[in-house]
Amino acid sequence: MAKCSICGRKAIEKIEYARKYLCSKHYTEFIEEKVRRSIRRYRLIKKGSKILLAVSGGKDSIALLTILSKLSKEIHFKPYVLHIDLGIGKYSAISREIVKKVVQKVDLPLIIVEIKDLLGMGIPELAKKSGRPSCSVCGIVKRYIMNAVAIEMKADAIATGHNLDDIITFILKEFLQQNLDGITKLVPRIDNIDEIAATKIRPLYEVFERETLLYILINKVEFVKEECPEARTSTLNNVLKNHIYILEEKFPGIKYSFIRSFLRNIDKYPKLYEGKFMKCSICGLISSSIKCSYCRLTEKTHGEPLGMYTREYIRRLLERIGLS
Amino acid sequence: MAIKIIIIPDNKVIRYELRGSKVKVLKILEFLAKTEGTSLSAYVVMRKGEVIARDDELFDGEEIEVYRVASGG
Repeated sequence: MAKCSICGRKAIEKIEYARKYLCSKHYTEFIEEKVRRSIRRYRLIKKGSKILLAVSGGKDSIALLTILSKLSKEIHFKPYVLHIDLGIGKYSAISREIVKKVVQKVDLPLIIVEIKDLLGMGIPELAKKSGRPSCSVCGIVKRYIMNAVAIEMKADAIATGHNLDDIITFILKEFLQQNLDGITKLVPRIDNIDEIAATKIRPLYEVFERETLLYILINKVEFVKEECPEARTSTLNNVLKNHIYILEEKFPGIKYSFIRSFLRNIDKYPKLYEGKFMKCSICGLISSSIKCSYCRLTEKTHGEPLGMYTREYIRRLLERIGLS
Repeated sequence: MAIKIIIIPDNKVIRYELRGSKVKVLKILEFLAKTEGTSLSAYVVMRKGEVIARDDELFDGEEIEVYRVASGG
């Protein structure tokens, strides 16, 4: 039986890249320390700041919520939770209940934006009406709502649960598609642009996907185990991720050395998008053209762009729950 | 003599036939990784609600939950 390298108790995991075995208690501390270190190293969160945590209910966002609610007491920042109910039948109902339960335990303010209430239909119907894949529609809607909520409540940053495997997968995908300006956005922190785009932070930037799952299973935190019924299984992302796991197993530490070199070289990539952003002529939030993708999407599905209406809806929602 | 494996999130049930009276978790992981064309670290194993390590032993009739790390959600 392998023993914990720190206390000698029964180990539950060997951290190959760190060359140590850890028990449940020290594994938990190890992961929390990784997040604490990323927050310091990449200057993600300042004392007294208002941080909006985007929580879907999946393992990564639940790990983010659990860890940041602990660290908020130490770093002295104010976390708020945002859950977007995507209107995907039973899957969304389960996700919403789990998020409510976990948030109640950590006692944080919770904002729920219900897409069906806001737009009169859920993601599957929006996808059908717009003729776009569900994942693409879901991405547009989620990104818009996260940004709009953060702007309306004047949050200092939106924190998402992207882990290191997600980031490396996105980098490789963008490289394969030669979308070089997309690569430069895959950093731990993207600063705000005036009042049109909120700052985005990724506190789990150096945490492996396996580590977020292990962290919440060890700590017995509830999370959504079901897969999204709208998600496709054989995507380029999934294939790339599988290869990344195999690479890490054969060459422990390769993910870390890759991401560190990537961040050292980030300025060498062309920032083609810089200066290209503008205000959406309809809603006033970030856009790469005259109308933002959310206003274009809703124009297609509802006959009129709903960005301004959505911002007003969010303002009223925040007022109702006393967070405006 | 077998171990019952429940794969999460698809709730697929697999019976792993034992050659002797026990088997190490590592063997089960090797079997799954080979079957699904992935790596050992793509799974986390739990028994009776507790995470177990690769060197833990499993016995005839036991049931384990194997979580796939990567999820599409």
